[in-house]
Amino acid sequence: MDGNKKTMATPRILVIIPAFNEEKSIASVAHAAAAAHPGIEVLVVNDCSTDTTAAILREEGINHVSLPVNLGIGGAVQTGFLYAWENGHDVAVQVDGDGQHPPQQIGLLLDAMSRNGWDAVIGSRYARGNQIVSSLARRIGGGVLGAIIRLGTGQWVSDPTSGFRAYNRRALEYLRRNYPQEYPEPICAIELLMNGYKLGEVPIVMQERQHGQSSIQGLNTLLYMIKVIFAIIIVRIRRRR
Amino acid sequence: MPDTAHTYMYGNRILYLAIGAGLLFLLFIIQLVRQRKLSERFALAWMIIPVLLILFSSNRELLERLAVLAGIAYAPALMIPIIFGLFTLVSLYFSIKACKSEQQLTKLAQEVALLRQQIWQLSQAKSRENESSHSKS
Repeated sequence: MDGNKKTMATPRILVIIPAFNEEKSIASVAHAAAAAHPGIEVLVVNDCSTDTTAAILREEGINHVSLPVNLGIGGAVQTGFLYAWENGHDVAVQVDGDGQHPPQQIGLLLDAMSRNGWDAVIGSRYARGNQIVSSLARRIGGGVLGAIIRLGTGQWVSDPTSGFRAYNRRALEYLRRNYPQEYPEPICAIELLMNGYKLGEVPIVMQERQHGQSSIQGLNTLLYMIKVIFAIIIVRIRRRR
Repeated sequence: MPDTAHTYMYGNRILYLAIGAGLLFLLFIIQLVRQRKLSERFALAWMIIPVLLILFSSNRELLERLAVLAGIAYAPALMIPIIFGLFTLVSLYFSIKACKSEQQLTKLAQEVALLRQQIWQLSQAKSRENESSHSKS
């Protein structure tokens, strides 16, 4: 396949939905994403789920790739980027499989990206113009991470852990080769900024996740912060590719 | 027996033990290679430890000189930081190898998943084609 072939007429948009044991929500999220915006294609990346996610995807005829081993969120999303690159998509949108990210707001990301000439856009829960109720620990955590990213790159990112994002083909070219496997969201933001890509944010309203629980809560928040800060330092000192 | 001679003899005994342990370790690694449980490349990394251990233990003069350089009064005690350093280096080498293997595994898994998806799409297209040809006939 030639990854450089692309049509300029109507942008081809791929919604990437990483899924690990999301049998309860995956079908509704995938269908909602497909109907969210004209010209959208959906790809679910089944990260070696142990429940019935794979069977549901087959039965529902949802376009998907199934990883033979569990790679985690970083590896799963990167698989989507590889697919988008190889199939000539112009934009890749990342949407969580748990129903937290409203597919109806994909248009907001796409509009902001094309209007501002950004290479990547983050759907932010905390961007100006948004009023969101969130736990104090999460807000503090997000604030500290944002401050660190600003220290490293000079740009403020209000919601560095948000997984609701869109990338253009220029960013895809970089991310298909260099997407971080650990703590991908904040690290990806800092990597893109450090390598000269334009990154912006738009305020979005997220829904309560339909099923499951966030892994980042309680003491895990602190542990997550320490690990991410360490990873950011590594990114800063690592030789650029 | 004078103190220095006593210390020297016991020091030598430790060195003989170190040589023995190094030889046993070397034999164990060779056995693992013979049983194909350890590849030659990794065996070579592990063999560095017993080989150097034997080398330092069998050459008391060299050990004494290095001990003077390191500021250690009792030469056989130098074996501790030497062994520790060697194990650290070998562990680091294997961490690098594990990291590379992880990256390769990720790449491989992604390729397999994408190829599977292509096969799935081709088979879907084929079955659609068959259905339409059946309905025409």
